[in-house]
Amino acid sequence: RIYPLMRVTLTTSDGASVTVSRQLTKHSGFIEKAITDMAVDDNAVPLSAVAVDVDDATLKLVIEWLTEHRDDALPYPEKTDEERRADDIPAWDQAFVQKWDTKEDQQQTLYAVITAADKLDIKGLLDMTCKTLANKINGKTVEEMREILQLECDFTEEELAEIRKENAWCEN
Amino acid sequence: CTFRSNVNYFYCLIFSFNFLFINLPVNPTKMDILKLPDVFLRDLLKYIEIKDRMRLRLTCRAFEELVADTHAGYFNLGFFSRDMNTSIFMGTTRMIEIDFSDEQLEELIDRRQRLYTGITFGNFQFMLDGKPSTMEFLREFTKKWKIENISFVAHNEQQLESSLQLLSNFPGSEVSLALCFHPGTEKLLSLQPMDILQLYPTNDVPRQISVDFFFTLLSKHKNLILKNLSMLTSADWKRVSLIISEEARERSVILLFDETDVQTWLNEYGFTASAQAGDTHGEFEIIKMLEAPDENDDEIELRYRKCKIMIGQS
Repeated sequence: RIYPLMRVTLTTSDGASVTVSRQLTKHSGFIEKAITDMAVDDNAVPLSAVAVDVDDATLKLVIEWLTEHRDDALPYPEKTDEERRADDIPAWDQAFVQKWDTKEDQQQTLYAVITAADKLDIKGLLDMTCKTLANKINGKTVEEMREILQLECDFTEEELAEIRKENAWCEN
Repeated sequence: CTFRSNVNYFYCLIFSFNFLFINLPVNPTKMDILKLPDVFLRDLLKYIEIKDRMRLRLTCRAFEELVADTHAGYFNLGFFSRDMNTSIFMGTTRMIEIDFSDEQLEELIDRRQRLYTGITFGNFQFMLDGKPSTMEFLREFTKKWKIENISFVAHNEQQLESSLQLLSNFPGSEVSLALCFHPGTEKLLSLQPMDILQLYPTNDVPRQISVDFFFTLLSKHKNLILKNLSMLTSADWKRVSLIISEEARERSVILLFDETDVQTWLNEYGFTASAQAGDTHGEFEIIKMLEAPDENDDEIELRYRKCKIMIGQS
């Protein structure tokens, strides 16, 4: 049982401290395991600080997302071998991702949040960011994909021609 | 005095260095998509359409390798037909220009290996032509495929044989087989249990399916769609309803009869033209009487224990 008023302090990779409710951290497999490993009674307040390998700015975004999703059901449903739909991202999540400033920053922030979601083991956030990135890629031209993913083409013209030839077996 | 002065100067230098260090803007390390967790990238590629996987191959070497090294994900529909033209649909992507030569087969297998390590289809339908070259192609080309529901349409014995051969590539799949010809009793009896067996001969001279044979098929296959079935008596009809009703799993049987046969059964059970919803005769109960503007489109819904019976025009 998690008591809504219980709080846990997180120390970030750049030295900041953030105190959050256990209602939010219960969605993070990493933090919950860290608390379990402390072998403290759930009633013990305050808990020792949990160090997370995430910078302060990114952690704030993660906490913002967790706050919106604090009542999501747990455990997060396991992915089944069914068709993956990327068009079911909640409106709040879409707006959350879109507000990240300039185009380049948005992509960098998205990567930082993905990395944080992976390190903190927040499945819902990882899934949402995965769909967001897939939606950015699907239906785009090769040039647009390179721009979105910030990739440099390291093929020679001959190699590109060869891959285009290989791709010709499917209708584009 | 000189010593003190040097010390001060020294302190001053240290302070200045610290000051510089603290105030220098931190050069943010630019994050690279390819440094994201491997499990994330593999998941991401499962959301990508086949044609977009192809475009991703062209972005850079790292993505070309990633595409080749990941599962393509799950596609609800797929289709193969070799008739006048060859069509293979994987999701919404259509393969083109297949000539089924040995040379091209090798080439296509190689290209497939550069596109995914595996692919899953919810439903895949094959309409085979029975030619050895098609079979050779499909046996190789579908090796990394998983199909949950596989269906075949066969118009002759050769196509049926090809379908059964290819089926051995997908031992865990649920199978639907639509036969547009009557392959003979022996062949029908030798078929493995199907999720759906459809026997819908389209030839001019219909071959009747005996009632006993119908019950044999019913005991073996989960769902049946049958045409040209000899007339069932009202007792046979009750027996079918009982079998379906007593099953724990969901089953369906679709039988195509002359309208007069159906009317005969309904009359034998006491249902007349004036029957209404709620009327019961024995354990049969009318649930719905749907009257359409054209009386040929009328539908009747009956219930026998747990079995629902729909009667309508096909």
